[in-house]
Amino acid sequence: MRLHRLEVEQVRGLAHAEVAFATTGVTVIEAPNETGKTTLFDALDVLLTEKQGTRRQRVRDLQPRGEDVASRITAELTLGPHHLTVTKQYNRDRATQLTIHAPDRRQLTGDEAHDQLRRLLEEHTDLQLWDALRFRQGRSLDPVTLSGTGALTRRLDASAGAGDGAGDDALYDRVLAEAGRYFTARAAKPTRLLTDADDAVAEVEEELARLRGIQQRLDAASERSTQLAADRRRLERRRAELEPELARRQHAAREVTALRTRLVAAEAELRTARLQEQQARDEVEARDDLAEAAATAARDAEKAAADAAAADAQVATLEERAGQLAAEVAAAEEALRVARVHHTHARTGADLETAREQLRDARDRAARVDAAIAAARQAEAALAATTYSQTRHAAVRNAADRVRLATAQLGAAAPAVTVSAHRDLRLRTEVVGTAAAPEDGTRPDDHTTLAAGGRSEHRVPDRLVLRIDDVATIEVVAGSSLEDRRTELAAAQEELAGACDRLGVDDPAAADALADAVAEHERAIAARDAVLQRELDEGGRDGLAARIRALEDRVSALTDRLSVSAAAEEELPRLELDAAGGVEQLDRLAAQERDAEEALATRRVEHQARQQALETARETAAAARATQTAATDTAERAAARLASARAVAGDEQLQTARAAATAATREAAAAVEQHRAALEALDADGVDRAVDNAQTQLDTVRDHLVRCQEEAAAVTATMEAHGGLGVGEAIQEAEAELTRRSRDRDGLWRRARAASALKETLEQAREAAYAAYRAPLADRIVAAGRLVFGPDLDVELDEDLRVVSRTLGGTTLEFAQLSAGAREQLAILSALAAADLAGEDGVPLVLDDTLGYTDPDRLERLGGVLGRISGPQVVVLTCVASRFEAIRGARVISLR
Amino acid sequence: MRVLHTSDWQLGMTRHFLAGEAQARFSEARLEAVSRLGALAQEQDCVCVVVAGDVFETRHPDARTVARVLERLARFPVPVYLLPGNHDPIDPGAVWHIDPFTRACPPHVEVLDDRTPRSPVEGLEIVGAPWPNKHPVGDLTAEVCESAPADHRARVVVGHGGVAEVSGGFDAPGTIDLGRVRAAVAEGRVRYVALGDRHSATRVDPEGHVWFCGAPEPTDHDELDPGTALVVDLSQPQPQVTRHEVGSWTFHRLTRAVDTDADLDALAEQLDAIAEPSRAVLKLALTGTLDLQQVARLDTLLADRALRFAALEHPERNRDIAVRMSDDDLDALELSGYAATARDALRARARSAGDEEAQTATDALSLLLRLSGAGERP
Repeated sequence: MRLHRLEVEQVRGLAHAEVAFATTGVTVIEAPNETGKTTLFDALDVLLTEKQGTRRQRVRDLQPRGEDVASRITAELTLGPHHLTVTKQYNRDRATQLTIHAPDRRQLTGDEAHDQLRRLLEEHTDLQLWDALRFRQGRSLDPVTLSGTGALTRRLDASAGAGDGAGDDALYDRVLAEAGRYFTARAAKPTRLLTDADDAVAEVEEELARLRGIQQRLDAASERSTQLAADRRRLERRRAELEPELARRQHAAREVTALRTRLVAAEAELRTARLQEQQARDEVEARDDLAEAAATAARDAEKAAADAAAADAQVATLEERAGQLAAEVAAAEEALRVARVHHTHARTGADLETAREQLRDARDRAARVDAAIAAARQAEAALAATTYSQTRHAAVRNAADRVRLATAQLGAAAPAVTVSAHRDLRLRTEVVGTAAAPEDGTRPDDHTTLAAGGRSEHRVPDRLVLRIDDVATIEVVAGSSLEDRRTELAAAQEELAGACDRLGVDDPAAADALADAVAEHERAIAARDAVLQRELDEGGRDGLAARIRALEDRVSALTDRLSVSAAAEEELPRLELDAAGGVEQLDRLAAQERDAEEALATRRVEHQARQQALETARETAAAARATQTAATDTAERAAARLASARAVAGDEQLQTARAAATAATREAAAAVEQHRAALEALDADGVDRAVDNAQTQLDTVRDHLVRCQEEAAAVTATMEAHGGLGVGEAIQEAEAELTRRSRDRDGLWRRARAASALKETLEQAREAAYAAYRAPLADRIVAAGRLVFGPDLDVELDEDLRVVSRTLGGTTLEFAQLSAGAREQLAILSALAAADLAGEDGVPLVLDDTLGYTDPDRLERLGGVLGRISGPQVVVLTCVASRFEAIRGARVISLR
Repeated sequence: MRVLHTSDWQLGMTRHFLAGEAQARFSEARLEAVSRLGALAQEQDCVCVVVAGDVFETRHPDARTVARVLERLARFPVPVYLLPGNHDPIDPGAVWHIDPFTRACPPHVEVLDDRTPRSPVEGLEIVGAPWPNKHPVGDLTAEVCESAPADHRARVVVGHGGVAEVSGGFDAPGTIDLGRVRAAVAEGRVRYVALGDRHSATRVDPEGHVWFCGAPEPTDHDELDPGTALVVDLSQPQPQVTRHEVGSWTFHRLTRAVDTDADLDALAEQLDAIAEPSRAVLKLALTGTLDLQQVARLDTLLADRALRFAALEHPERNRDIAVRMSDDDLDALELSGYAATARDALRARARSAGDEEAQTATDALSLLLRLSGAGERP
């Protein structure tokens, strides 16, 4: 289809507009927004599809708003070989006019014109492609779908070297329809046609199985019935055989029973004869036993008498020996007594010595304790009486020391008088005043002998009087220069006197003596404690006193015992007690006593043993005497019984009776054997068993017969129940039906397989063909696209001829991953390639306000591509004509 | 003193190749044949009719089948003796013991259910050898023959079963030992042995005492000369046997080679020459090599005739026609584009693949021929 001219009047906002298109190459129609660019092609759509008289909304919408006027649309087109002009007037004054200019001029009006237009369109225009190549405003950016467009397919077929693609597709559709009769399009599952055929076969197979089941049951019943009849005949024959046989065997059994009764009687007789024989034998044996017993008893009595005598002799011997042993025991007892007396006496003596020693010791200790206590008591009394204390004593000593110091100081300060003796003379000095005793021990009024040549110096503390024999008396007075010293000395002396007074002594020497006495007292008290500690145990003094008393008692007792034992001893052989022997003697006496004890024990054991033996012998003797008495008695009674038995029946008589009984037994046994032999000859057990067997068999046969009849009745009932159904004939009918249905089904499946195989083969060929002719379209897209995207562009198409990916610079991206601009450009390039490929069969490519996503550079390149177009017709609708300036040679029409 | 000898009525028989009304007509024809036998008996002055086994197709025929044959037998002017054969042995569950047979059986119709001699008229004795079940032990017919007294009476033994000398093989149950039968005949124990089982009328012994009478109506394609009954005159020691046609249906087996259009023409002529096609059952066995168009023609030819005949079978196993893919065929498939590619692929597969796949490919090609419109031309 080629568009030459489009004219509209009173269509929406367009009062009148006319566009003359470039037949090949690009026509750019420029108009501002809302001024009817899109309206032009909407009007063209209405013109090509709607009849004049339609009242459809899209037609009513053609009217300008608010105006009830006729909308007129005219288009001049080339459709295949036909060049024509069509004009339609809608909504008011409706009219259609079709003028065909070439090849044959014709003019048509009304619906006839419309129908002719539609025929020409359908015949010469690929309406699908027309739709695909319309890029409306706001179109989605999906790739352009080109498959199924006849014009393109024809061209692609031609490119791929194939024939009439349209014919192929029509055939393909018929094949699909044929295959669709047998298999579903999607899941390729068998359709009702096939499944019904299968079901029909299955149904009759099922029916056949059911019928055959009945037939089998009938056959089985019939077979069983025949068998049961045979069984019944056999059983009846068997019963007829068994009944007389049973009677015959029962008769034989009765004979056996009679014989058995006779045997039982004979056996009873035999038992009686045997009892009698046994009795006779027992009597003979009893008689023999009796005689034997009498003889034995006589022998036993004699032997018992001998035994009793021997036992008595034994007793006498043992009694004698026992007497000897009793005397020996008495002697040993005496020896033991003596040894014990001696030992006791000696031990008592020793104990007495010991006790006496202990008593002495205890008494000494008591004396020492008493003495210590007395001394301590005196010291305590003395300590209680004195005013002594160590403090006071120290005060005295200190006062004395001060007096000595004061005296010494006075002495040192006092004038000294030296006496030199020219002959022996006696000198007496007397110190008057407060002066204390001089350092050198001179006392006042002290007398000193002074040898010739000797010298004596004397201090004069206050006033000194020297008396030399009777030669002279010299008084020396110290004067007042010593007064302070004297006062000091007097004070010391007064302090001393006070201290001594407080201590109760006269002078320091007495104080020291008093201190010594006090120490002595304290020592006495301490000595008492030591003595008590050493001499007394826990019992204290009372314990010690008690011990002394106990020891005194013990000594007294031992003394008494000793005197007693001494008195006893006088009757005994003298015992030399060696006073010094002491312990050794005691040990020796103890040993003697032990020896005596052992000797006595030995004698006693021996004596006891003998006594026991004697007792035993006595018992034996008593028993022997008792035995003798009993044996004698037994012998007498045995003799008496034998005598009385013989008086009743003599020995000969008994022997005769026994012989008779033995003969009777033999006869009875012979009779039993005879009957038994007769029974054995008849095989009595066998006869019984035979009766049982025959009876059992007959019972079984009768039982089987009853069951046989019952089952036969049941089987007959089964056969009667099914026999009238005509099952045999029904099976034949079903088999025939099965054959027919199977044949139909097999034929159907065969046709189905053929259709399926044809469809698959055709599809494979079609896919291969499509794959082959995708190439030319892709080549064109790439050729044009390289001008836009660059020389390394490549694209891939799917089976619907859509671009699925773009490769650029070695990077392949899915279509959906591309930018909006790139998708838009590829879509337009695809459409352009399709339009180019469709050639004369093609339709105009209409770009309505597109390429909004495309940047100026790409837009320019795309313009370059559009400018190169020579074959296809391209219409660009835009509000900005300058965007498409790059399209060389484009016809630009402004609707302004 | 004549006896009508018939057998193998096999009433209640169903044939798979007879669909719908054909089966009904076939069944009806067989009942009609029974009526014709009654008429024949009267016409030939027969004293009785013996049916030597297989009166019914099964032991359990449909009640209607039983009722209808009894209704027709009731019109017979002479006694009728029915022998249970291998199809309808007299086992306890069989039709013979069961209502409606027992209830509707006319007085002059008697089942030879044991070996007791029957005497329809003075001087004639009929002795049956009935099948007790489907697997009898021993030779029933020979036993009956041998047990009859050697009194040279006019005695007919009615038996059923194959004879090895006629049909070959001794394995089938109830096979008759011809030697024993002939010996009994020679001893004067039996004059005529009326046999059933074989559907073609056949004299069994050279002396002409032992006969198969054939079925009154054919039942299958492999029967030789069916549709007969025998009228036997027993007045003399040597029976006089006359054959009578009673059948109205025909079974045909056509085996032909078809390789050319002329062969197809000849086939059409032969088919068209068959009389009474509505009572004719055909089985074709065609061999040869035909191209796709000839195959289409054959199919059309047969489809047309199938409507005329009671049955026209052309079973797969009997069809040995190679389909030749001629250039004409392929030219007829004026295809281009991928359809042509598909056609060539199928053709290759039809020529080289295994049996089944090749068959499918050939079928697919035929389909392609049809769908492309090429096969519509004559």
